[in-house]
Amino acid sequence: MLKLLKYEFKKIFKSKFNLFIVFFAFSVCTYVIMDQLNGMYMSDVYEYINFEGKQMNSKEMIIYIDTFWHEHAGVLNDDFLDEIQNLKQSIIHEHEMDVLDEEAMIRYYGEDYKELDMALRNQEVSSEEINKLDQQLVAFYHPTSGGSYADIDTPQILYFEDGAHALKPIYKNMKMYRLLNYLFQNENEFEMLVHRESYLIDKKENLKMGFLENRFTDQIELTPKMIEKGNEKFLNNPYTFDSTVGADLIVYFLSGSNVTLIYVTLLILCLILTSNLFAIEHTSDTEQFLISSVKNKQVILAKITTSILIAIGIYIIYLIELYSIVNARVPIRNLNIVCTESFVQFMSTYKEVIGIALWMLISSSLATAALSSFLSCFTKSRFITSLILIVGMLMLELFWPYTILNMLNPFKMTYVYFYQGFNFVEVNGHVIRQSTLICSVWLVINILLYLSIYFWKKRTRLKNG
Amino acid sequence: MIQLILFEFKKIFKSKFHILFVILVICYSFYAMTNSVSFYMELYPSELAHLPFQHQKFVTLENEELTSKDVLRYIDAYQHEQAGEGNQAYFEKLMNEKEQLMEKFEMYEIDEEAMKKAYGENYLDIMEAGEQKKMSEEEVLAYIREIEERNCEDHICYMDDPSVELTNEGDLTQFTLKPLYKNKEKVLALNALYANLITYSDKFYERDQYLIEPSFIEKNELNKDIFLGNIPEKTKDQLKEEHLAYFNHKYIENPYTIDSNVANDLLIYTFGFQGPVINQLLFIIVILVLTSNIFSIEKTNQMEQYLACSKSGFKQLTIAKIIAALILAIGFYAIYFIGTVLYISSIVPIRNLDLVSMIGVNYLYTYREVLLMFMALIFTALIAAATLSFFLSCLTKSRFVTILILLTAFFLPYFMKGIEAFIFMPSMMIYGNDYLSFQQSMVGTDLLNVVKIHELVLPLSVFVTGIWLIVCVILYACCYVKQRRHHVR
Repeated sequence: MLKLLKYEFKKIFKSKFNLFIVFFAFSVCTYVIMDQLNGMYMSDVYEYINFEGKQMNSKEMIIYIDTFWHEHAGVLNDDFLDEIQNLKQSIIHEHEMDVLDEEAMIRYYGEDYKELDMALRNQEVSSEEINKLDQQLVAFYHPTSGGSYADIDTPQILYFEDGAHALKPIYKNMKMYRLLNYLFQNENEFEMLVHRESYLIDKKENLKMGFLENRFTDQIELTPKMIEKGNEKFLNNPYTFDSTVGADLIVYFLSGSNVTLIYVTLLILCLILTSNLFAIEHTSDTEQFLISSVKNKQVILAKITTSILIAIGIYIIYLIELYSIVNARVPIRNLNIVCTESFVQFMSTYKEVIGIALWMLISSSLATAALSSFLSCFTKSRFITSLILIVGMLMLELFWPYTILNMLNPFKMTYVYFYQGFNFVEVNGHVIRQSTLICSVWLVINILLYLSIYFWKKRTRLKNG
Repeated sequence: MIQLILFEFKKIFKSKFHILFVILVICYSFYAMTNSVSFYMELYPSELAHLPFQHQKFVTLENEELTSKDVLRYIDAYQHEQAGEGNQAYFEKLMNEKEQLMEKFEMYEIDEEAMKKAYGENYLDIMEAGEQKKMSEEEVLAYIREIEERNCEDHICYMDDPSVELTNEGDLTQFTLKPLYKNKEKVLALNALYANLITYSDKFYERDQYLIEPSFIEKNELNKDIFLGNIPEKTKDQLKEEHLAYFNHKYIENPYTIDSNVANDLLIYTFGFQGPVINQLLFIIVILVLTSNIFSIEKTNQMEQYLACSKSGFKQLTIAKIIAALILAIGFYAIYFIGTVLYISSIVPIRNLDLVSMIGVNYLYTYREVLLMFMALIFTALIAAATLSFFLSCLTKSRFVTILILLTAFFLPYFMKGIEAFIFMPSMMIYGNDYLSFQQSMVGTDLLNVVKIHELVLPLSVFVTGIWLIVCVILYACCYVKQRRHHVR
């Protein structure tokens, strides 16, 4: 059997085209990962300054944030909240980030900026004048290829609900706020996790969304059992805290919405490698020999096993590649920490998020391999198989994205972020994740597809025999 | 030569898979086309009347209830009767007619019954309380909820549904109730009949007012009320004086005639908008499948060696293959185009195509120009797909590799947004409207719909079409030379 497996792999990798495609696909993955890593926390328009006043590139920024939070690792509790509040205030104070930059205020708003600010607050300035001033301030925005861009250190007119206006205060070392904002962007999430009992979902009277507030997309109708399960998951989250920069990067590349190119490439790779497993016998005119061979059964089993191994192997290699690249940039620390990414909705730790992502990706790959083997077995042509599957999967996603059929589309399954978080379904009174349901359905379909291949091929032999 | 071309076609259509695929795609395309036309017919009157999309009852001015096709025919016949030259006298005539009809059908009179049903029997007292701020905020909020529950289906309220309107912004206690007029259903008919005519004639007789001054660029005043409508920031930065001169020239030179646009809009919608675009994409895939086999079939059938040593055969055969690929590309679309035009003509007559259109950029092109540009883009997309497939299959001699490379490349722009070069991708060229308007396109970025080459300003669609035609000629020439060299060797 092992020998047969070896032969199948040999047949696949004998083709220079297949070898090239494997090399090309993993090169695309490396390029996308490196490109996105280098662009992370970066902007073409403005610069990032650390608290020592030094400009940082993407690599330095990632390491800076990681080291900063690793130094403050500990347990999520009230002391931790106080500590980070004090820390933030001390940074602001130390670097005079709350001291008005008189020079900048005069440069942007003019010598009499105090009077102007007072007049704006007292609603003594006409709307035409405000518009004119607003237009003048555009000159200080960051110029971009698509116009200009207002940011933290650019002057602006502030608008209040009561109709009053004010000049945006420009503080000293304002550019450091970019880093400060990145460092403390999860303050609210920390507060929610520390006081988790007050953020539970409550549907008894008026619906209180609790920890799901601003994170829920109304796509699922909440049932009491789902709420119970969600609350339980939220309450059972670990209290540990450490730097999550490395883990965030892994989650980003496994679940992110901006890495579709990687998954399209890997899916097509899986399709190319598996679509020839059965078709090759027809092309090389060896089909007749196999049909009459007593070992036909073993050959079919070897082909099915190869198809499964390829499907799993592709993502294992991708994971190793991803882990090596990310780990070379920043250490991946504790994964038993609750993931604060908005799409996870506090429903999983990093370990679980990565587990769900891999589960979905491998399922999608296995589904592609099974479909591809099944179709190529019937059509005897890798061309027709690839055509049907590529066109079918991509067009289903493009033109019928909200149909049930598309929920089972292997390509759609690579949009992993969609299946993370509070995405439960109720089946026979049991609340399970949507990802579990879809993967289980595919597992059954895969078994059926492989069984049909096995019996169909076996029957062919018997008939001819 | 004709015989060689015929042989090529025979080779292609000998395969059952090809015949099945072609039949399926043609059948599906006509089904999708008729489906999208039906969808459009439901949507069109509401769009004309600027109403939120919903399936509304359409009642004519003669109190006859109409559905889908008949609505379009009715609007078309009425607007055709009103046809004329867009000047001030015409505009005033239309406004007077509309006003008279509004009075005739008592559309200005409050419908007491409807008011009671929507706001309650005591609606007059509530209106008074709202004027005199007699109700507390809580009471008003409870009343708003009550109205929503009573009048909005599934808590989704539309603009023309009964509602509470605040008269002093920010103050909940001061409000009035939205008036409901008599003959509400006739408002839809009247707006659908006059909306286009009034908008066009209003714009036409004051055409000069909406011209763009070259100084607008320097003064950053391109957000003024100009005929181009809203221009995205990025496009504003790219606009030069030559572009503006081109826009102004086109705008002023356009005809002033006003007539029914119903069939024209339907025609444009069917060929250049996102609804039925799947048809065009399917045609591209069919062309890829059929043409990818033109060269590789010789290798599969082990005919290459025979052809390589034939003196005149290979040369003529290559030309026959090129012609066959082109006929396939043009032929399929011609079938679809003729079928669509015949279907639309059977619904509503196609009248004057030389009318100014609001498709793409407002009032810039006539329907004929828009249609020609859409057609040119789609034809070019098909020819480009055929050429690329032909060229790659000539190089790789494998239809599997050819189809794999091209399908991946054609689907890539759907998943990688923001790359402007993708406007040259055949799979993007089927979104004709993106090439005419300033709004964000399928490639994920705002496009400037004109291109300046030295002193010449061209529409983007013409530029893309032109570039592709040159590339196609070069690729065909390469195929020809490669095959010839092969023979000499």
